[in-house]
Amino acid sequence: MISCRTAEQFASQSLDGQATAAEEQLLAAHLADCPACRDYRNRLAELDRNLADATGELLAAVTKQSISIPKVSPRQAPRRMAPWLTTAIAAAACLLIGGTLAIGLLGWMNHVTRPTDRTIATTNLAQPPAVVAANRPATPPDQPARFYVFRTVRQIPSARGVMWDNESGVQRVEQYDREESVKVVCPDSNVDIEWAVPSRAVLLTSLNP
Amino acid sequence: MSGEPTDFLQIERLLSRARLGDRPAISQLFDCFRGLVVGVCAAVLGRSDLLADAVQEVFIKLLRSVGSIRHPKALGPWLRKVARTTALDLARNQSGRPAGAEKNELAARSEQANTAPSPLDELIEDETSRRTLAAMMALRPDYREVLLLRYLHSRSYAEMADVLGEPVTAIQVRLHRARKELLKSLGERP
Repeated sequence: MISCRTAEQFASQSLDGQATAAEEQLLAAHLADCPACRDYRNRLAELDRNLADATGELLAAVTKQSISIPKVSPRQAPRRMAPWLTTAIAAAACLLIGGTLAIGLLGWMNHVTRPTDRTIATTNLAQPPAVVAANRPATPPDQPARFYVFRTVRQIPSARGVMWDNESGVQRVEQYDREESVKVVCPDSNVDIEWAVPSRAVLLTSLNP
Repeated sequence: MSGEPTDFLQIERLLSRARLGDRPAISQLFDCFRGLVVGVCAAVLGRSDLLADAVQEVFIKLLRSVGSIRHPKALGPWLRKVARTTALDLARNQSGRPAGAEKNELAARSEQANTAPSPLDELIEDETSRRTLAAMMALRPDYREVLLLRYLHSRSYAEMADVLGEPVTAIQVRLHRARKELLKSLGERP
């Protein structure tokens, strides 16, 4: 004869269909003689039905609320390819790598011979800044400075770059008409730019450090 | 019950197709584990407003990571872990509480659920179901998780043990205690 405590445990397992045949027999024998455990088993069965209903409703409600397949793509697993396609891709990859290396080498040579590009300012010329402040050095360096004017669209009819000198103020005014990029030799490596043209976004890049 | 005990061969096939972006397969995979994800998220959150968001986020994570899940048996435990962390993150973000407050937060929610209806009830129309769910959400977090998994995901103790990473005996004892606790709680209520 099992204890009431064990009978309760077996009743729970029996409810889930997880009790062994021996456990079922012991439970049945105990329930035949124990009204309290019979009552417990009946309440347990009712709870089981209520829980099944409640969780079923919960799942249905959540599913109804929002759960659909999200509109994102899984990361694709690699597919097997035809041998000819593999060869073609390998050849293309070799060309690409070779080209990249060549471009990289050119870039590196360019880099060691020229200063790195540096962004001075990005501006929307609907509200043009009078002067884009730059850190002018205390004393103008000897190195010549160059800067590029990159225009995003063709709306730049002309631009005016003002080269500043610490000592004398405006040193030289450069006018650029319908130029996509300009190159200016300037004794000051850090230039201030003043725009006098209406335009949209313009990126100013200095080629000097 | 939504998710019958999972057939790992079937899951394996679905996973293979899902990795290639087969949408019906992804949908079927969702269906197999929807109960599990809803159960874990509901156990952690205990509130209706964030539940659908949490479940949706878990499925998006599944969709994005489906290529890295190699074994079908690993999917259940992985989803349980992701569902748990996702729900906790959502709850934290909502409340603005620090990460270390997890246990206190869950305990506080349990206490609150004892005195007030759980917001999850809002999703349910039937009065008996509402009362049962409210009482379940007022249980200890590990009790309510095992009950929700049992009713939403699987009847098999072995499968629940796999998902929870615990021995079968621990699951059957916990389920028994959770039910006993729930009966007591429901009996005490008017």
